[in-house]
Amino acid sequence: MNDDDNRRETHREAMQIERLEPDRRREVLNAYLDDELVPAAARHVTVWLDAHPEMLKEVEHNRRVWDLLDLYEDESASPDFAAQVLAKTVRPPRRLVLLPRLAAAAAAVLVLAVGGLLLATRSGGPGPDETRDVADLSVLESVPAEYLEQADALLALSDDEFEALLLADLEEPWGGG
Amino acid sequence: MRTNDTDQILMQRFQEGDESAFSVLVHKYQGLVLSLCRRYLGSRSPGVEDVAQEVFVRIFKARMTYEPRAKVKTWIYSITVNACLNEIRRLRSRKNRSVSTFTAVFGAAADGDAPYAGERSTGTGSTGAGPTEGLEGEEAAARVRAAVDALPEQQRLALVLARFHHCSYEEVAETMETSVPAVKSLLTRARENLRRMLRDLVEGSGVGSGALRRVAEARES
Repeated sequence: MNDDDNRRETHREAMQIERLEPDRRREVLNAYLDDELVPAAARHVTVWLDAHPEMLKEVEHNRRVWDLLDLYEDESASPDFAAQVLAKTVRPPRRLVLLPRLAAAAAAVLVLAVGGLLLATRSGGPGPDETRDVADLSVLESVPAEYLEQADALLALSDDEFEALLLADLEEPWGGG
Repeated sequence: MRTNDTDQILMQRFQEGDESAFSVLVHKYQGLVLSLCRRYLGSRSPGVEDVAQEVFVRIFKARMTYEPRAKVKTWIYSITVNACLNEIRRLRSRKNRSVSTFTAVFGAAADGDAPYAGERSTGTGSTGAGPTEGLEGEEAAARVRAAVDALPEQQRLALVLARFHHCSYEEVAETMETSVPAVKSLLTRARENLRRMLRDLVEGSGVGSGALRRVAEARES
């Protein structure tokens, strides 16, 4: 039965309310309370109720049951509900994606600086250029190449250039890499 | 297919990859989803917000299954009902749960047709819970909540959708994947059970009317 059939059936029952079985009659009266009847059927039920005070009383009690449910007040969502949902679903903003890369680059620079300092301390002063070159190279080799490239590139940027790069990365479309 | 329905436009944008449209849907529907979860699972059920969050995660994952033939609201309600049913099953199957906790949340005969915990706790009839004169505000509200919680699952869901979410019989039927005649029957039985459980409030001398009036006034202001 589709929606139109259901409406026709409800309408037909309402127009014959005086002949319905008690269970079906109760359903029609509840549909009347729920504004589910078309106007003509609702008018017919109203007239019928005027002539049946006992049924009118039952309808009034059912209306009061519905009114009482206003006391079942709802609570609002916690303030961070939507934020929590979005954190579980939507990808993090690009700014947050970029931060680990910047952190890695900074770490690479730090490794280089500490390595150089250690080398200078251990040698007790300026040593032969060849020795320092070999030591620097060994430190560099321990750092992943991609970090070194990123660090070099980032260190070479001016403040304006760095900001432009950050904005361009943020504006990159989804799935754009 | 193009549409003027705001929700459907949002869904189309969301399906096309615009995740800001999803954010709008979350903000728009968070209250309705939470409210449905809370009233369907029972006001004392723990973890309602977790279930509601799970609903939106499912909506996010299942966005491509949405077809514009359906109302977005009904589609979201269907997902909400399924998530709640999973939660009910999960709680039922927990081996180490205490019977009392389960009963408090879902009643003693959740699959049955007769009201249970609420009827006992609300104490209608000759074994009533005492005088109801002066019963107002919180006490009346607590009784109403207990009575709704005590309804059998299907009756409660039909009632919550029709009464609190203003769904038509057709929308309730679609959400519950049942027929309109079945919805009529569920709502009729839900009303009868509530009337029985809240008989003194319904047929008494206006007990609870003060609280109702305050609710109405609060809404108007």
